[in-house]
Amino acid sequence: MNCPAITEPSGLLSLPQELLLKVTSHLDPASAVALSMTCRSLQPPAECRIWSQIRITERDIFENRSKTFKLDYSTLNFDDPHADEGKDLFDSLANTHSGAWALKSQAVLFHFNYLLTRHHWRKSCVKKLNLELRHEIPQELVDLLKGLPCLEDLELRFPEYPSSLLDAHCLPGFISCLQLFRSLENNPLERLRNIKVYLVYDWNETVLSILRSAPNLECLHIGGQILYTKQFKQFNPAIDSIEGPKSLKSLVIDEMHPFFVPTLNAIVDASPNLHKVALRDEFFRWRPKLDNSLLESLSKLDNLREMEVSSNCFDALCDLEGWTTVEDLKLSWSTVMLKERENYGMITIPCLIPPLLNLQRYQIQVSYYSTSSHGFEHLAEPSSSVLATLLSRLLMELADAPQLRIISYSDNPPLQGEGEETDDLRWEWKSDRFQGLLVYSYTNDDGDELFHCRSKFQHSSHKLNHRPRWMGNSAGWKEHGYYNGRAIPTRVLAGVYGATGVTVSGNEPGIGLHMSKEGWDLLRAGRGQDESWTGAFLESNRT
Amino acid sequence: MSDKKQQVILQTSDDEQFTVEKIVAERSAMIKSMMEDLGEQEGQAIPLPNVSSSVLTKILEYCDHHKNEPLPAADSSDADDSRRKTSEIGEWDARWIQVDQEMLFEIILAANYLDIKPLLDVGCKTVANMIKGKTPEEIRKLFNITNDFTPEEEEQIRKENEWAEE
Repeated sequence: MNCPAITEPSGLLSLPQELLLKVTSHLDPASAVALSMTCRSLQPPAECRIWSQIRITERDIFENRSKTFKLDYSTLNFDDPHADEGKDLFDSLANTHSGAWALKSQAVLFHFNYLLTRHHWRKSCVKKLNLELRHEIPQELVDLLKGLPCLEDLELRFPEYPSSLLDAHCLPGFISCLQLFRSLENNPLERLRNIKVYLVYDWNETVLSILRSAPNLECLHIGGQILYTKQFKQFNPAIDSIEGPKSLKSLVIDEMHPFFVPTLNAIVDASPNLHKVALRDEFFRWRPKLDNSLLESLSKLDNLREMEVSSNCFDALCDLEGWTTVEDLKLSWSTVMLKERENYGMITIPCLIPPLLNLQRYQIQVSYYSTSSHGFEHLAEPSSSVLATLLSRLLMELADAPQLRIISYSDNPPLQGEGEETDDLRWEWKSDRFQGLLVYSYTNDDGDELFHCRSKFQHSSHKLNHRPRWMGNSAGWKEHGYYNGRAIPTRVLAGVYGATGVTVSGNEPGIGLHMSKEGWDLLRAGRGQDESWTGAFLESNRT
Repeated sequence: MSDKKQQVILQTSDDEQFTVEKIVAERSAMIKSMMEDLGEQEGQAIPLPNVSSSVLTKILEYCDHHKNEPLPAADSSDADDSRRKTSEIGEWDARWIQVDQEMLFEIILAANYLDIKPLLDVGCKTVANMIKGKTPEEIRKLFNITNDFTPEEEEQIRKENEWAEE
């Protein structure tokens, strides 16, 4: 009846649904909307593009922008027949009172749900749902989530602190995060793979509830700050074991706290496939002892590739056996601890690089803030000294991390709210902003090694103005060569590269790289003139 | 197995036979797995009942041009996704796929049937690029689509979906 074409459909309409979906996945939202309006048979695949990712933010709720959710109050199922009368009052309150704000977010969810039910295919289009709410969650969200069979990705952001600091103070019709996930436990969301959620209250209980309501979860990212000390009393450490999500691959905690340890420990013990673990701790609240059970469990994981912790865990990284699969490590160092290392570093080995067998990339993130007896402390510009310390004892430090090829250094305090960017460990050594060391190590069958390290420090431009000239150009690469453990002058290094035609600029750092015979011959020839090298080296240092 | 150039015979829906290099035919995951199932049977033609000779000629051109590239990993949907999102259509591919609509959709259908993922991507992207930036009426004209909506329905759909515009 809806097929006016008598002949077999041709062209675009001849494509089966799955291929139409592939086509629409390449469309921008505006074009998908245009396509959805062309005819009945193209509406579902076009709308799948539109509805696959839903993001409802504070702005949709606050501004009621014409382009986004136009709240059509007549379509809402408010029981109150006089809903229209209340609308003005409602609107004027909405921008001022957080309770009214919550009501408005409820209205947006109502409307969203209404749109979803308008066509039967829409609910199964939704794969990614990103909601910015207050800590009060409209009750309707429970049924909404239950009705999305293909939901893979859920993010609940709470941009502000809870509007009420009083416990158990919730508007009727609103629930907490814990209640939300508890309500989902009986009908778990099987397809859900990624959850990012901000937790302030009921941390441990909510995390456990999330795992029960999303049995196939792969990535769990928990943000939010634990600000309210009174809930520590409610903390319940009696967690023996949990029905672990065997599927869990990534666990990210934005602000680590000692009270999370038992829960996290139970999760780690139950998740043998963990690939990435980040326990971010910008304020260095968590000071684990060496025999910390969580760190011990982490060190034994068989698939752990990426780690992110604070320097408070450094000793555990050095002393605990295990960590054999870790390739990427990001350590946020407190300036206090760094200064200690610099001052007493010569006697402690390792000083800055933990001895991890498979470590390939290592990021040193310096946090300007560290808690001391006087509160927050600010120490300026430790950068060049850290890298200089590292350079001065590089071969020693690298001896126990033989695969390490990129050491990046960053002293920008992490920006709050830029979670997306910090989600991945980034190794953009090609970027202009890169600071750190790159390792190119060449070996041959005779067991010779040419070790080439490139270093780069940077200073932001305003600092550059005050820099005395003798500190040199800070933004360029500096080259450091070692042949079989001995420093060689840069000109020899340059000669080797010239003779072999190999170049490093733009090439991926690496260990066990190949170099042709000409290079090795040159190095061997030079070995006989060791003294002249040393002389040249000293000379080049002097100038 | 030391033959430098192993050959395969493909038979199209209109009963034409094509003798092609194995490495070219293997661009098609479907043919590849079929060859593995059939084993080394000399001279045995692989039937392709869903592909006509004119489309196969065109597709073999593509396969030949890309024969030395690494095959996409089977069912690596993640990598697939990121590649699909980031990369544009290559220069050669874009020129190669400048064909009339009938041929374009036949190529897409055949790429799907033969399971040549990169080619399917190129085809779908090409169609998407044709749609991009057009009004509903322009899209209808382009693909010869009959409008079966009333103006009110059309307006309703626009309203319900417009919030998605970023």
